[in-house]
Amino acid sequence: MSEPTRPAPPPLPGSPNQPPPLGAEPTARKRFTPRRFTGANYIDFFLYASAAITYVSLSIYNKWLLDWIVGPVWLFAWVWGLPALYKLMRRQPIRPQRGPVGERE
Amino acid sequence: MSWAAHQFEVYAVQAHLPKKMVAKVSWLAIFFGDFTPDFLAKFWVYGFNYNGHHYGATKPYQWHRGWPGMGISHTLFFGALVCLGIWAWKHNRAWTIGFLLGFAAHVLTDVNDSIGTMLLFPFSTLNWSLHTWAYAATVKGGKYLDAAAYYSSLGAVMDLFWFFVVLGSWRVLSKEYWRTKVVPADPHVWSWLGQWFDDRGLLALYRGVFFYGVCRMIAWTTWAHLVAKPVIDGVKRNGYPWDLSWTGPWWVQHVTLPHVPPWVVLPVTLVLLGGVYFVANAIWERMESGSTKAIAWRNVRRKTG
Repeated sequence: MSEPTRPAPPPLPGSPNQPPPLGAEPTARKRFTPRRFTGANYIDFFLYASAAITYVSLSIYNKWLLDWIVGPVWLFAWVWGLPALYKLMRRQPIRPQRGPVGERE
Repeated sequence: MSWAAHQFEVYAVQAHLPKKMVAKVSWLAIFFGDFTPDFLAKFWVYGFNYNGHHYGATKPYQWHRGWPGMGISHTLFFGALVCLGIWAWKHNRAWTIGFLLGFAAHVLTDVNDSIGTMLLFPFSTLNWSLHTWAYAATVKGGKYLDAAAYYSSLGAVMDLFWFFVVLGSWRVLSKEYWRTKVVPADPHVWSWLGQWFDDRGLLALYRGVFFYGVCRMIAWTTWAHLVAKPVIDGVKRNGYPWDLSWTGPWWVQHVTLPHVPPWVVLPVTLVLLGGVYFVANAIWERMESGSTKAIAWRNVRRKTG
């Protein structure tokens, strides 16, 4: 609940996790593969699609699932929770590693 | 009442904000504005059973949209009061205007069922209804009959309409849009959540309402037409019959409350929709100085206190 002129918040989601290394070429990003062709996007698509298929299939016969809290939580649990579980099993941190505000740019 | 339409509206309103409000009006406020009327009134409409006794409204339609009842929760007057409260409390135009637009979308959409809403409350307690489909929440039928009736009537078309409105503005669901237009309007909330969840999780939270809308539309329609085996007029059927006629479906009782003639409802609703956008536009700039002063004063108090 805030206006942009309020005190600086913690780093915004969607910002780069780490500042670019010193001396990095500013144009290097242009050589990256477009996002829509990356493996991460296929994983996202699979997660969203599987969340929808499982939720619809189960909720047709268990209608208590068709609730405005359960629905969004289901998506969140599927799309964020499953990858987080996978990371936990591989002993990787699941909390995002965002730098302080001053280090973002 | 409308079902998934209310979930899709949230994104439709966000996608069609006036240019000067883009990335400044809170999406979360639009969400809470759109959901508040049913937060307040819906639970008691269906009620619940405990120890063989039903607790809930004896006349769901009267409770939901009538006066006396919780019909006030579906009036622009009530939405304006809540907006005044938000403004008085936080002096935050991002939330005040967002809530107003979300709330108005809900109230104006609900004129479509046979009960409608009290658009001109408190000046009139007459309901404004287009009678597009039958309001079907009953004590006996509960949520299931309500869903079956809605997804067998023009209500289903209404949901599809809003679904395609959002699809027509599909960028509103993209990560880029969320990052550049939604997060900046609520930096503190998203940053706070961002301490625990990565962008994939935050984006899932943002898209969750749309996901729920799509899934409930598919699930209820599938159940009503492929799974349910209702008995209608003594005849056992495989699925509830479709009826896309005005005020359908024919197999539920068409309940009404004292209302204005239907032919005036559409023009008045459109005028009110335009009026809400006009008012939001007109007060947006004026609220800026109030917001800035309140924030400056709060900062001074933080430093000194």
